Amino acid sequence: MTSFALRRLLIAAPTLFIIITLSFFLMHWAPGGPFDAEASLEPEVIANLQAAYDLDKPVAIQYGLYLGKVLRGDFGPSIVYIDRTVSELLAIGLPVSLRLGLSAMLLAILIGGSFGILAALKKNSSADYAVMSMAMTGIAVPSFVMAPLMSLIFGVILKILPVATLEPRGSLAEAIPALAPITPYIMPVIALALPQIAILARLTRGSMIETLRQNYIRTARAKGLASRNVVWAHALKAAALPVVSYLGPAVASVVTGSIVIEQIFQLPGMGRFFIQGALNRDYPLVLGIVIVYAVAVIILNMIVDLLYGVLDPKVKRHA
Amino acid sequence: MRLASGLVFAVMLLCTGAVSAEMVLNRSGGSDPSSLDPQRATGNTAVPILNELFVGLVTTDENGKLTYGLAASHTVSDDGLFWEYTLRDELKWSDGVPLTAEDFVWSLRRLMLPETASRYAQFFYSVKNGRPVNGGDMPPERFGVSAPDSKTIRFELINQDPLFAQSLNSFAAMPSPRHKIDELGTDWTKPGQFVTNGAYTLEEWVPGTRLTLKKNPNFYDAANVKIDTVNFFPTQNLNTVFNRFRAGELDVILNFPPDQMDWIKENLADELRIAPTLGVYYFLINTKKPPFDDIRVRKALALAFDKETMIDRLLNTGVVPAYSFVSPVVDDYTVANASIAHMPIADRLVEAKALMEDAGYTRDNPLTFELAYDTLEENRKIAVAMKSMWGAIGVNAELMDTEFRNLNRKARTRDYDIMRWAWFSPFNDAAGYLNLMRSNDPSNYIGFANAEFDAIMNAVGTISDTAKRNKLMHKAEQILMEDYAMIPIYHYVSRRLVKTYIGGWVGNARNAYKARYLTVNRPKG
Repeated sequence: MTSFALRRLLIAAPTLFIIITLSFFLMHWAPGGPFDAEASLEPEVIANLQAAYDLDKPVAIQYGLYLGKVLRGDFGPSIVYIDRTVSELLAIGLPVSLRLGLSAMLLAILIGGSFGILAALKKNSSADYAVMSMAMTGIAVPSFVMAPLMSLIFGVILKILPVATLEPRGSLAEAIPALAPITPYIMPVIALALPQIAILARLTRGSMIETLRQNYIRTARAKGLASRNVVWAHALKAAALPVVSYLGPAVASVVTGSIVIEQIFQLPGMGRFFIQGALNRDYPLVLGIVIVYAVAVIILNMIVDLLYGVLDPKVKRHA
Repeated sequence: MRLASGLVFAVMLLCTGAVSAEMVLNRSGGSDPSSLDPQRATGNTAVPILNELFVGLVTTDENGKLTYGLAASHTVSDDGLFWEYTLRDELKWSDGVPLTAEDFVWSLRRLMLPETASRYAQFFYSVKNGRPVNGGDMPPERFGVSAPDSKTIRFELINQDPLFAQSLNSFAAMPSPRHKIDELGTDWTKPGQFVTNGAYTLEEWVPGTRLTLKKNPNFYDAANVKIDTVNFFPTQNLNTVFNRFRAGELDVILNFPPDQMDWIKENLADELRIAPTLGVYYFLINTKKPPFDDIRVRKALALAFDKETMIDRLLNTGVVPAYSFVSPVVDDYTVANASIAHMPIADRLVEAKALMEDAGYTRDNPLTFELAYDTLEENRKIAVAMKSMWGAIGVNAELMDTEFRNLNRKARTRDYDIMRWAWFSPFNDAAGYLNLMRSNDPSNYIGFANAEFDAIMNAVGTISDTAKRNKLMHKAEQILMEDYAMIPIYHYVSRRLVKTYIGGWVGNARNAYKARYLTVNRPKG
């Protein structure tokens, strides 16, 4: 197990290097630069600006300088947010994005998993149909439609939750002050989790039905084990395998989804800085965020792989 | 008992009264300001915030007109080259340190230093040695600004500049607290240590969430400032901004989704504030590239595009169809509309077809070119309308949807046929527009070159008599418009939603709405 984890870590380093290199050159090849404003700048002004961000040097040298800085943990100054360094912006954005992303994943696993099990156990019942139609809706309606709709209903019309911002507002925060700090996260987390809840519910249901048909389950039932024991102790572990293997892609889609959700709910997470950075050709900011995203996806994928080993003895043996 | 409860009630009322007596304004801001340092900040989103925090020698009044700020008076020498501003008495920074003429001199030199890398330094190239100092070829001490005494600031210009007073209204020319910058370096803009000289100081800045300003008791006009706290909420998504206004989270928003216009007119008519601005939406024509070097082709395209119908049917945003480059709201100026402005559309189409045939283009040999615009629903609508209307005279425009930064690059490198563009004049003056079209101006992306136009604009640059200048510029604009080197579409308006309990809101072309002139009488409950 440890050697497996170590090997994954060793592969992570070149992966990260390739991601940084590709992003760096893609970013610089994108047409238009950070100082292309509507009015033309005088040559002296452009020279001063380029010198301030090392952009007056050849791209290969800029790349070398950048790699050197990153190795020392310095992501450089932001071009859009002049008063701040990229590291400062990441320190603001990362906790918000992490809280959002991890809560959404947790919610998706809990709700999606339970709904899936429920549907599998009550196969072809009205509960099953209800869960599956909800899941289809969840998959079909994209979050950029769901999020504004939720914000309109719960923020504007019912005034229960804040429309946007990280400040607690709305009747829920007034009624239960203990919940106030989490009120700004409720809608974003749900909007981000919904598609994953739907997918996980379908996956769990399918894999649970499949497992329940297995001989060893039938044997367990024949031995007279209580249904609860059969499901929780025997079936669930095996049924969880395909679901766990989906968690890797799920993390990636939560990361990309959070860019949209942060924009709609105006959360000061990394997704918003990413959009601002990309549109304004803020090279250091975009690269810094790409690195953090890449590290997050690599680590979370590794956790999923390790989890897979715990659940499936065959994987453990191979490793 | 009744008396006691009555008393308690009265006390509670007093308490709530005391709480609500604090006036708070919650307003939207496009995105976080790039910086709060007047000499380093850039971009439009910094403008309203810096205008609350700092005041320069001049400023805008409650109607958006230019007036004295920290200066009490000024004189200009007969040759127009020496400008002297005298400061008000007893000026102080927000931390109580006296503010003197030396602070201005130091800040303006700082603006011109190459390492400050300010984009606005070029506004002050008309000041003696501005360009060489900014280029690093001369020490900042040689820059033409001096302080003969602690209350006087003296500028020496290299030529007459009728717009100089307006340049001083830019945030780049506002003073920075030297005593704090010497002490803290670039960290001086962080909340807690930030020192300002305007109506407000910085209380808190949570990037992406909120920027809170508190009233500055050391501001020279603090007695007339009513609002105690101003919150700026950076919000880029228009739907979110609009929802937050409807939910009561924001009192003032600077824009809303254009497709909500009908709903707003019906439901929020009292809160809708539309005001003209100094901006024009237009299409650039690359006149250096055949066949657009042929005025017949350019005029035919202008004739065949029915912007009134397009604006009426597709936009519904309150904008004004444009046949001039200069906005009609520029003070004391009469715009020169293109002569096709009053032709009925049927006649225009006939003439357009004839011109195209003349130029050698027919249905069998159609003119095909690229029509570029940046990704935005409104731009797409307009481009599609153009394509379809031009189809009527046998022109085939191929739509090219691209990013704003790439559009900028296309304009700058003249790598386009016809493309969307916009211009917001930094000055309330026709020269703020027309100077762009001088043949040697770096922002002249269309390649328009006319000797008479250049001669007029160069002459105007040194004339201070407003009536005389405007008459000449009207002539210049006429030359420009009759060349059909661009296709003006509309003059921008600002679309604000302002709660009815906000007092003192006066729509103005300069887009200046400072909290120091406003009041908030939020209804209780």
